[in-house]
Order: sequence, then C-alpha cells, then structure tokens
Amino acid sequence: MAGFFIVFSFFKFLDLKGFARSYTMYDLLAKQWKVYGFIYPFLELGLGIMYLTAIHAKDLLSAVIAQGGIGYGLVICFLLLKAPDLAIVQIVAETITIIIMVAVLHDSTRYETRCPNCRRDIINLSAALILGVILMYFFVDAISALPPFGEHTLRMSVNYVYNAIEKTGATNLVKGVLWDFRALDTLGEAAVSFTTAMGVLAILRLKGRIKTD
Amino acid sequence: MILYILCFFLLLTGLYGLLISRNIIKIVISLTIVEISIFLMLILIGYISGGIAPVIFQEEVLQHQAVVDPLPQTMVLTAIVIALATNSMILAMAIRLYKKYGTFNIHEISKLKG
Repeated sequence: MAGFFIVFSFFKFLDLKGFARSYTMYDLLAKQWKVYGFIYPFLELGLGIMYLTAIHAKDLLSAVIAQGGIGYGLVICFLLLKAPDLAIVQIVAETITIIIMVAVLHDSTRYETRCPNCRRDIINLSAALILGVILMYFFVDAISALPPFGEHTLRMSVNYVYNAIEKTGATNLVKGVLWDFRALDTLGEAAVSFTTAMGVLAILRLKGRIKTD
Repeated sequence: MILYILCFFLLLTGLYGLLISRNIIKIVISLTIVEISIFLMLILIGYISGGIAPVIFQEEVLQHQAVVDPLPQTMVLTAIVIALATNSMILAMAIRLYKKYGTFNIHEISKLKG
C-alpha cells in the first residue's frame, strides 16, 4: 500500500504543473485554494510513507495485491515515459509474478504469524535507519552528477539510434539493440532464465532422494 | 530532480521492508519494490522531453525529432525478465520451506532445527 501511494504520487510529479491545473477543475478545495493542487501530490507521498508503518498488514493476500498495484502502476509510468516495449513485458511479468504468489499463498497460509515484542525488531529497525542514512549521503553526493530530468543526451547510444535501420533493418530500436547489437547479452539472459527454470524444477521436485542410513 | 528523489524513496521503502519483515512473502514483495525503483530510475535517466518512443518507421523522422534513449530500455527489459526468474526461484524455495516447517516466519525457521 505504501508503494502504491508513492507510485501514484509519482505520476503526479511527472507533470506537476499540468496536474495542478487540471486538478482545480474537479476538486472543490483546489478550486478555492490554487496551491492545494501543488500540495496534493506531496500529501499523497506523505500518506505512502505513513502506510509504511502499515507494512505489517496481517493478511498476506492483501500485501500481494498491493504489490500488483505497484507493478501495474509501473506499467503506466513506462507508457508515460515513452517505453511501450517495457510496458508490455512488465505487464506480463507482473501478472505471472502475482499468479505464482497467489498460488504459493493458496498452498500455505494467508496470515502472518509474529512474535510479540521481539528483541530483533529494534536491531532491524536501527539497521534499516543506518542503511538509509548512508544511502542518503551517497545519493545526495551522486545526484548532482545526473543530468536534469528530460535533458538526457544520446551519448552512448547515438550509434545504435542512427544505424539501427540501416544495419539491422529493425524499426523498433529497442528490439534492434536487444537482438542485434547486444545479442550476446540476450543470450546471457536466456541462459539465466533457463538455469532458473531448471533450479525451480529441482527445488519443487516432488520426490526427493531419501537418505537411508 | 524531485523525480529522482522520489525514486530513491521508493528504493528506501523496499529496503526498509526487506530489513523489517520476517515473513518470506513480504521479503519477496520488498525485493520487487527495490527492483521497480531501479527500473524507474534507469528509464527516467534515459527520458528526453519531447522525444518520441523508439519505434521508427521512416528514417527521415530522425532528422528533426528526438528519440528517447533505447539503451536503458533494453537493459531494463533484460532486467525485468531476470527479476521474474529470481522471484519465481525465491518463491519455489519459500514453498519448500513451508512444506518442511509449516511457517513463513524466518525467525521461527531459524529456531527450528532439522
């Protein structure tokens, strides 16, 4: 649920001004008070962070559904960011993940058991906080090196973009890069998928060998 | 810039869940959130405002129209498939653990021996 809110506030940040303008059309409070349209996405982000405390949802099925919401939100983000291939792949991958997760829950329990006042909770929480602070430091350090949003320069892929049609005959540049320019990487990906399939088969084998001694 | 920061918060959400939760299913969900934040970050960096999707039917289009960077998209496409594979592997292990111990709680599993 937390991620849900963060992803949806994310859409609004994609076009903050446009959202604020259109939001005044249908929201009563925003009609009176223009700034509200700008504040609303931040409110939603805050809600997302609040819901973090509710990451302890007792029902695992609802947690899985919330994760599905995040995944499908990502699909819309990809479409807004002009990446249709990714949207297609993500929608398939997300659906398969949810089906597998629901199948796992169907075979086991829906409810989360937890020990009351565990000592480990404090250790975990402090570890999470320390890790967050360390990552924050590096992020603040690194963000100045990134180009501002929307002003990316085609430094690395200029060769791919301008030669794709001539060299590969693919009109879809993503597929041209994936299957022709970087076909070896794709072979690696296929190898990973194959290995995982074998691993899953080995793990889920019904009859294991029984040790006799 | 606010988009990058938001993406980072999504990453922190996932990491928080990863460290806090003791249920295997919740750990998988947190891992997925971390993955999603990384994908979004890469795609955000590759975005060019006013650019068209990297699907081109006429070469003349390239002369006067910016195209969104296809390279991060390709990398993320690979990463999505690998993330799916990893997730299914973890879930397979989770179902085996449940069959053996009757619980998803990693704290309890570490207490039980055998």
